[in-house]
Amino acid sequence: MKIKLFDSELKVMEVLWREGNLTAGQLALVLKEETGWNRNTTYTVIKKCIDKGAIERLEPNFTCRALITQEEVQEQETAELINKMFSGSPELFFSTFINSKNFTKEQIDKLKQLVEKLK
Amino acid sequence: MDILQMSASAGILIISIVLIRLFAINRLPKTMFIILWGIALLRLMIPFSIPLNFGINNILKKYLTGFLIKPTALPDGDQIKRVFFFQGTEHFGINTAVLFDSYIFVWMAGVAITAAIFAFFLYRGHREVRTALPARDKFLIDKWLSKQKLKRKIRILVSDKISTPLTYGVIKPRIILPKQMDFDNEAQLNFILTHELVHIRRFDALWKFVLVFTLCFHWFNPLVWVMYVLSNRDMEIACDEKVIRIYGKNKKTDYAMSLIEMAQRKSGFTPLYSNFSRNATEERIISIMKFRKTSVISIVLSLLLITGAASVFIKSTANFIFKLNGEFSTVEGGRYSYQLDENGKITVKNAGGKVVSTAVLGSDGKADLTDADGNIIKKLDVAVPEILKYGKVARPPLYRAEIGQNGKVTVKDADGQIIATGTTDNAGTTDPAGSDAYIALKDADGTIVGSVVVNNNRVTRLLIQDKKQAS
Repeated sequence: MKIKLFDSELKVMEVLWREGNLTAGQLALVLKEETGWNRNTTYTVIKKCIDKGAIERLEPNFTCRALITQEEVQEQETAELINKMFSGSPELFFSTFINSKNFTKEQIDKLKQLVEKLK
Repeated sequence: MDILQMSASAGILIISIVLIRLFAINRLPKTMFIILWGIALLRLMIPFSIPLNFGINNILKKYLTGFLIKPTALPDGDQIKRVFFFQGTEHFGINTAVLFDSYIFVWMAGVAITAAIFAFFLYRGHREVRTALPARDKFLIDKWLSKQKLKRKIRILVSDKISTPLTYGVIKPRIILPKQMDFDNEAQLNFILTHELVHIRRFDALWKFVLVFTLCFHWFNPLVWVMYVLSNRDMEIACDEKVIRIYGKNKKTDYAMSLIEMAQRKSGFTPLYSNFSRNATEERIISIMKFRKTSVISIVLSLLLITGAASVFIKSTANFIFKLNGEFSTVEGGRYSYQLDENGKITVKNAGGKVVSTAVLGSDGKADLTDADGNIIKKLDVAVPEILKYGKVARPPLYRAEIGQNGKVTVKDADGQIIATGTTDNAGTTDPAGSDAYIALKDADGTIVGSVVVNNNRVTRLLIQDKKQAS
């Protein structure tokens, strides 16, 4: 099931992925710190996430629990990107990606290891 | 000064600005236009004028007063039309408060509705941008920020819900950039940020608010709506002009190109945010490309125009003649009209237009109107001087003259103190009708301070010789 999240909603999810379950109040405090949003704004975004099925509201205290994982969202977004920009071809995506960035030696080694693991 | 007058005289200024703009917008410094709009805005908001003997208000009054006539009903069903005012002599003005009764409620409703509409758009706009996040590719942004020396701290944020950059906030200004822009294009980024910075420096967010606020009160005047649209556009154009001044004239093509790129997207109606709007973009591009260094001539011309515009604040002191027209019906079904002229004389005409009698209005505002046979058909009672509020503090009637039983004339001031007295020669008996008796008024020391004219045992004219106006 595909969930489309705006940047603001993703930000809320990031906090939950990082910190685990938090109450809405705690979320508001963290986000105030990290983005400058006021309480009402945060609460509105949380509500949007709940409506989209990304967050579950638990009682007591309006605790928020992420219903999707970061990996799930990453996969989803990447798949969409590949479909949209690379004609659905992961190899095309991958080769473009490799050629466009300047990788350090360590990064290249790490990538090699990943590919090895897949074999 | 009431709101109609402010609106009308600002309206004239607005028309002039529109005309100047039509013919000369690319030949004059754009900043001048925002000064002109500022003057119009002040005129709409400030109810005071400087009294001098010329100016736009004189012309206005002469030709436009007809628009401002409003019928109002007297208690017993008369129709009264005020035609002009009188100012500056020993006769009276008229209570203006009477005239705009029910229209005030219409006006207030209009204010409320307009305010509600703007509040709605404001709320909607705010909801879109309040979830903006700090930028991730901050390098170039921080580089630009470090070069700025504004006293207020600027926050730069990114949102995926807008398509063109905008800025808002007066005390804590914020620039919101659209996610879909190229954060690595230093030149374009600098143009955009500098443009928004100029808005911030000029407090455009505040001016936009003031414009909306004023527009709510002047909702009935289509010219004020024109001013609203054009002055917003001119704020953008003046901003562009400033950016080119900052970067140099040879950058104007680059700047225009970056505008075109950014303006290819749509954005909604945001009354308080300065943003790139597609409609006005063409005007802006033209204005940018036609940018030229300011010449001495254009500065001189601008100053002249601005001074001319400021003349809208000069108050007319032309004398007006007080007239009153009224119509009424009698119980028997007769219809009559009467006219009060500047000398206080009332002419009564019947339905056919023939004069049936004349009378004189007393300084207490009362007169008995009679028909051709001398029967009293109407007891006229005019609300006598509350001196008009033309930028002065309203003053209550200064003096009242009364004739007592013994023929003694007593003149009292606003506090009820007797300031002068006189006596009629014939101790209050009726004179052969129509003759005016002039009686000198003396104060407690016996000094002559003025005179009254008595006719038919009524005071018809009162003159007190001092600097103040007498009634």
